[in-house]
Amino acid sequence: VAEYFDSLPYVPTWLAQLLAAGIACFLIINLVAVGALVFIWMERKVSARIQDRLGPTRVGGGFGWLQTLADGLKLITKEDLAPGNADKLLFRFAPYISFAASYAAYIALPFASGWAAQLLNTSVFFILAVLGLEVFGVILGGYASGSKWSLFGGMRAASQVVSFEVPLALCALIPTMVAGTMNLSTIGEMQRGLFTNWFIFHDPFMFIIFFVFFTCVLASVNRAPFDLPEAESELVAGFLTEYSGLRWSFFFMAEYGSMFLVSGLATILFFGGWNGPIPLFDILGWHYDPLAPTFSWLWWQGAIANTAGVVNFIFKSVLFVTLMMWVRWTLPRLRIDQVMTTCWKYCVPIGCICFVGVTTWQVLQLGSINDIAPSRLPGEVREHWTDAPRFTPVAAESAEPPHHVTALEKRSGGGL
Amino acid sequence: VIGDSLLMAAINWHSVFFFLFAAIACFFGAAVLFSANVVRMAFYLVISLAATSGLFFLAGSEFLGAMQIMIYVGGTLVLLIFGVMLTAQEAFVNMKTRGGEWVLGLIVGASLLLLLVSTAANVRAWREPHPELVKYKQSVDKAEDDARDAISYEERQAAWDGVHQPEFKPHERTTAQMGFAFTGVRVDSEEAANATLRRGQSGYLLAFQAVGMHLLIVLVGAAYLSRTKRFGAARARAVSTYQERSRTRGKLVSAWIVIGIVLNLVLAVATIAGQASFQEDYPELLIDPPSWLFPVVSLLFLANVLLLAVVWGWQRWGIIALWIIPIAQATLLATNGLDPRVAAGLAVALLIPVAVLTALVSIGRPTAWSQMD
Repeated sequence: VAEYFDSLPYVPTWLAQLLAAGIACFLIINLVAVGALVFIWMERKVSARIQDRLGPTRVGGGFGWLQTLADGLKLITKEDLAPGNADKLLFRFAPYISFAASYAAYIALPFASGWAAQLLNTSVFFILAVLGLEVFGVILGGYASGSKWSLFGGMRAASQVVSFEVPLALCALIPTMVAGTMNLSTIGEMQRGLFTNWFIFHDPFMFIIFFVFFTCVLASVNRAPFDLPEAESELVAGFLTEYSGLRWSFFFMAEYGSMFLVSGLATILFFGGWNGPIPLFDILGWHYDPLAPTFSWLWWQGAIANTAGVVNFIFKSVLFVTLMMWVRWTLPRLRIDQVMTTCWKYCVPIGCICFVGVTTWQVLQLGSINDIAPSRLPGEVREHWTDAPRFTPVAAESAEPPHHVTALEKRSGGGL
Repeated sequence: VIGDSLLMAAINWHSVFFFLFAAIACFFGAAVLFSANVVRMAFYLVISLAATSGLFFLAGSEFLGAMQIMIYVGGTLVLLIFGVMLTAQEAFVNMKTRGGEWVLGLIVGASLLLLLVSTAANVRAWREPHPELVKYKQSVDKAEDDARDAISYEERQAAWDGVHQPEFKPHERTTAQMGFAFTGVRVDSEEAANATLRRGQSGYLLAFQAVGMHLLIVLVGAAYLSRTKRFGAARARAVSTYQERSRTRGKLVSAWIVIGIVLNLVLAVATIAGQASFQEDYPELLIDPPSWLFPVVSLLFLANVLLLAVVWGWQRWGIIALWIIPIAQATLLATNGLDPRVAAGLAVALLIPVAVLTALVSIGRPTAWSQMD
């Protein structure tokens, strides 16, 4: 994008860069904000249907399309209250921290092959790290409210999220290990082709670990049945007790933002990312090429293929968001000790076992559904972590192979 | 390029962002210093650390940047806030710094700053970029320019392939490199031209294992400490005994402590007195000892006396420190010329009485250990 703006007359390079960054920011912030609008409406409808009700039916037509907008208007007109006991500065700031953390994690999330606000080599790690910051706003909000309900809610949220970060990282590590890279864009590209190439079909352990991952994700974004930090009916809304109006809705936007984010993460790590079940555009031979000249036929092919990829990606992620809603309105809320038991006595051990299982599967190179129809496309990189990168020794100096290659061969029994 | 944008084109944007992040980090670092409220301090610290991670991202160290967020901003500060919230009493929520503390803090901080600045100025590699990196960067820049200028797609592809032909691209797959370095292979130094640059190929396997073991021990310790029920009951009993002031010390323990005090006093004197004759009798065992060695060892025996008094006064840390002193003495002697085998034997000989003391305080009912503070 920056290159395109740069090529226009009367647009200096710095402005082109700025415009490109602005477009990325605009797209993502709209995805988060509009996404939250749609998801809140969806939450109402889904919960209503599950409980045999109709849900919103009046605002903006038969399906209550504009219900969230009406809610938003109501929230904006509310008075911006801060309790007398509160630490005013932190109380005002906490919602922004939560929202900024959720929003910043989108920087590294690719929506299609090579289409991310910033392609990071370590995007999996970055997203997990930044997502963990969201709880910081929750804790600060809970503390700064100057109310015991809020403080306890904040503490519950902190202990829950900090605990679940451990199995979450463990679960995200496993597909990362299979891919051999932490770059989400590359991980998605590796699952190109038929749906049999998705990592969830890599081996049985991988299949199990997805469900653990989803459980941990539910807990780390404070969704039911792990929504203790804000349990309205039992715990007086937790850390949100003293919040009202727009600040309250910032927390909500952050929650829905990270819901979509973790769904996107699950999509890329396990369900092929932006690759559809049947590789229509691969059959046509269209694929995104970052080097194609702007507005050439090749560029258009790539753009169309990637747009379809974005649609695919958003569709899959929304499916996971819907699944989260389904879970919320079906399962009862857990007690805090049950939440901790789920984390430490189930998720972590299962994660460890699956980690060992997937590693063994790879070392023994057992059969995998992924091998049924492997994709062989131009530019495709299928890495295997046991395939050590081979380096040509500095030829002028030594004729024998460099010492680390022999060392590696010895260690792996000559399999390299 | 139109006129006014010449100025903008001349700006090094990398530096601009560097100064932006650096300014944020410094400003909020100072805010931590000047704020009196503990929770606000933590909040400012978060912002300062996050800006530091921005610096890492700017330098292209994405892994390090994400690590900074994960560990410092995420982990440590959540824990810090836990600590603050759970422990902060009224007196500590707002802290006032007294004049003397300011002076001490300024001295410590200024010396640390001086040390860091002088160190940073002395590392030659930090003053100029690595020549091979410069060469690589230039080739990439040229290829990118060529690719941009090229008219046809094939020409672009060719220009690009020219750079990316080597299988190993320094700017990609840094995580793979790090993984190999942790398992004992430094792939980045393999390509270096001469033997000096290829040093350190063996990677960080030992350090990695050591850190792993350390973390495992920390985890086990955390799990042990959080077993509040049984542990808490023993503590409660001990506390109640303490409150009743009816602590009973077994006769054996008392005797052993008294013997220990006398023995250590004798040893302290004997070390000084026997120095000359020992060096005469066994010249091959102790080679060229510094003059301070024997007085220091003697002082450590006197420290033992103090620690035994501490144990007598129902303090647990006395026993733990008693275990450390013989090891320190043996280490001192071994590193200053004593035959290591003799030093090891000495350490064992001196540790046996400590082991006996530890055993004595952990028998009987109630044990002396459980009554200690």
